[in-house]
Amino acid sequence: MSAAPVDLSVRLGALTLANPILLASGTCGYGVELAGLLDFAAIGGIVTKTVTLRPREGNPPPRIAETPSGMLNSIGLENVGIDTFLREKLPAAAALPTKIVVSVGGHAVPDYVELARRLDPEPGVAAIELNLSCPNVSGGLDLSLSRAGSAEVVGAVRRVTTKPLIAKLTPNVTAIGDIARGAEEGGADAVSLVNTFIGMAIDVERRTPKLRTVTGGLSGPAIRPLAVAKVYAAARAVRIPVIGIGGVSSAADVIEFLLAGATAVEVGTWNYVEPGAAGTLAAGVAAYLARHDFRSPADLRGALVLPAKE
Amino acid sequence: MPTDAWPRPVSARARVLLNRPVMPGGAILRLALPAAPPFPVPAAGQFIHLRLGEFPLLRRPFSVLGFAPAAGGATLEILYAVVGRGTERIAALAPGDPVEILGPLGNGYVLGAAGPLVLVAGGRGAAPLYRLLESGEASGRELVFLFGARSREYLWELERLAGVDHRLATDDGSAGEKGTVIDLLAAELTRLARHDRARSAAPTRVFACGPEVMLRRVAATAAGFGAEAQVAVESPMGCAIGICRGCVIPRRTTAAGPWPRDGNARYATVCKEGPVFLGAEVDWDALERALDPAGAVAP
Repeated sequence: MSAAPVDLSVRLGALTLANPILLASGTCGYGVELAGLLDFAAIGGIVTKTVTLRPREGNPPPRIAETPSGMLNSIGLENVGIDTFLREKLPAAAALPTKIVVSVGGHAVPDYVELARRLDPEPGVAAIELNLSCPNVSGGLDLSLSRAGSAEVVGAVRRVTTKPLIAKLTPNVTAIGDIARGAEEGGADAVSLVNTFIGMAIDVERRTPKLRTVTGGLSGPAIRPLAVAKVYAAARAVRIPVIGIGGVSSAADVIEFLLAGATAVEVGTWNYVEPGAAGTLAAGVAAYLARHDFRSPADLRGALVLPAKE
Repeated sequence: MPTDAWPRPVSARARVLLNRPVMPGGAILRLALPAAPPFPVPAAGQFIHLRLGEFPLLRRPFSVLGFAPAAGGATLEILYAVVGRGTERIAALAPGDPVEILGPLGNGYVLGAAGPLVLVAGGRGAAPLYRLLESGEASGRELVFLFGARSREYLWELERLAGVDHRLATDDGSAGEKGTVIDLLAAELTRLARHDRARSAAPTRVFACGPEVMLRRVAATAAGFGAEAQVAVESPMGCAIGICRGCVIPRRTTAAGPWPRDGNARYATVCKEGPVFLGAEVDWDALERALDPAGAVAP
């Protein structure tokens, strides 16, 4: 047994969480949907469903399809819009005993700036996650496809809010470390990755795509090794904290991301499988840290033992 | 009925009591639920979200067929059809096997204060309507049960209709009338319309569950007689609690049901706003396009 108690708290720039477990945007609604099923006091926080300036009806169905250990989705950022969010959703979410990170999305830099302006005075908002990377919405520039683009949008938002900023990155790029550097240069407190991988599934009997929009975003345990590799690359490219996302379903999965260089994780698709599971992960992380004589999740950064050079 | 009164769902570890075929490709799974946490009594039309284990990844939704308190907990029944790899796993379950269930979920049928009830079942769709008979929600109400299927062997568990006024129809005439349940519905609504003139005019409600093509015709037939249709629809689901927005169907904006609505004028979640909708609330043309994705479009 370790003599010193384990402290699970983690710092993401100006944002401090009680433990490294967040719920990923889009997989926990506005929090209240999970009331009675999840112990909110046992997680670090939730990231709310991405909100846009105007309400969005979302994409036509079918919107989801199951694939081996994974889920394809094309929801299309369906959401109530910032006005209704501030009036109806945020007050209820803010009353939950956990930190509320608000995810925002848009087509262009001014959208993000305006959303951040609206959220800045809200005491219930612990941080803002910039969704730079939804794969199911086209028509605007994809701000997360270039270093300069991510630096531009993060920098513009940085100038209008003092809230901690997290830039959520797409994995559908050649060099994710470059994009993460752009977010860092723009003034992000942290980067989170990965959003979903673009995927496609076909019903071979009907010879039709399983999603109405043909392609969608793949999530779930199927993508975890891909996500761990992206986190490993991003963590070596930036100094700011990295939040790992992709197929987390157990405490061991959390540890895997932390060893790869993440400071915290977001649990996504698994919330659909076991809506209370995220609330059990912190205890598992604490048990692991105690068993290995670590005192803090941060101790795992750099603790990865790499193969010796020949 | 104030529909905020649906009980909050719970997550429970259940065990298989029985897994019994009742028609070609269809079987009843009966589960033993533990005493704690207490599982709320499901209303007719509500469903559970079933998890088998490591595979498949996502849970599968099933309408509640039966529910009864039992020593040390409760028993719950669903009807399932083997349609894919997930339901093949269910077919392989044996007594004693563990499964996890989340429920009861969604909005059930809303009976209203008075008036005749016409229940319209198509094949597997009898499940929630059998639950309505069993639950006692409709006791004392004038009620007729109309059950249609392609042939006799798909009219499953007819013993559940003992003592209930009912009519049967099959496509091939192997049981009941040769024809469809829509024919039965039209005849029944005609009869009720005649009787209505002679008594107080409490509205007729039609509760239906079955294939979408049947539900569409139920909605149209009921509308032609000025009756309210409540239809239970199916959709693949992710979360089943209104979060992922994966199970939506297209809705019309012109009709509002007795259930809470979330403000999206174009799409409704089957899991949270449904699975029971007013027939007039569903955009049937768009739903047909969704079920036949040959016309896939870019986002």
